[in-house]
Amino acid sequence: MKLILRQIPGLVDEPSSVWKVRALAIDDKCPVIEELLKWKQSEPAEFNKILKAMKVAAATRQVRDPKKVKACANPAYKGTYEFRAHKGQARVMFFYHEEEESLIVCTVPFFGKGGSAQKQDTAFKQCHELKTHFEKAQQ
Amino acid sequence: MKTEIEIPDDALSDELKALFDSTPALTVEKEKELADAVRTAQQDPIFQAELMKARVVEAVLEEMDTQQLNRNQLAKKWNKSRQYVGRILDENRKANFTLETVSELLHLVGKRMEIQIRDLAPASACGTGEVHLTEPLAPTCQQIFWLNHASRAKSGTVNLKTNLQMAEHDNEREALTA
Repeated sequence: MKLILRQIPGLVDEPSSVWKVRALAIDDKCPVIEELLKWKQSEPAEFNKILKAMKVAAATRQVRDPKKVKACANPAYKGTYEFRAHKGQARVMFFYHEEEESLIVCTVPFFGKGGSAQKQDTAFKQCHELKTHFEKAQQ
Repeated sequence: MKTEIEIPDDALSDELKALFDSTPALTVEKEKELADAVRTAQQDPIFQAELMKARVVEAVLEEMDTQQLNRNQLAKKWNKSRQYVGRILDENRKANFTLETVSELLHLVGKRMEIQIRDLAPASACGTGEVHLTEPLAPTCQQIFWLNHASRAKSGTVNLKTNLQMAEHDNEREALTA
């Protein structure tokens, strides 16, 4: 199977961007793109907030506003972050990767309903696992 | 930079494998649908205004961090209340986020803003057409423009307000006119 970096459709790289935002897919399956499509239909306000957070993050070396980007508090999953729909439940877990290109790699989505703390931790865990695979392959 | 990485079939944990197994395959139609939605959202004046606010707030927060300035100190420097600063930095809809406010705020942290005024790109130049799964999209330029719009005040009278907005479109338009 192949880990593939995909452009998020419609989210273009601006010349002034610090980071390029990409979504991680395995073969032809990309949970982030799939979930964004769902949110667009069912949670348009959250969809817009996530999109806004992605654009702010792409243009900023390090996002300070925790309403948009928050680092994982669990030290076991250090280096993972989430895009947040402020006052909403939509999240997209990601990590930064800086080599030849500066990338924000979106890995897994998360929608925080009931028992969300544990599910959120699982989403960070999955993000961290994908980060490990990705970084290992780049070496 | 490797954008396609071969990994062994058993490399993923069961949880992650289950997540990807339960995800439907991407199609060109789905990607086009999302591309259209993302572009539509980005062209929305409210979205553009909120994005501008977010970028201003981010710039201010960054400078506050650099200068080790907290919200109380910023409020004192600005001769405003702590609550007012909080509302501005929280991008609260009720905050008076005018150009004057933004300009004052940026000035306080040693920054200034520049505004570019451009035409809105036609839909075709915004890349609402076909998007191939792996096709790299053209870089965009940023447009910042003024939108004058009438907003109804609480009194029922109509006031003319000036809002800062930002729009984006592909460089395609510029390339066409070059």
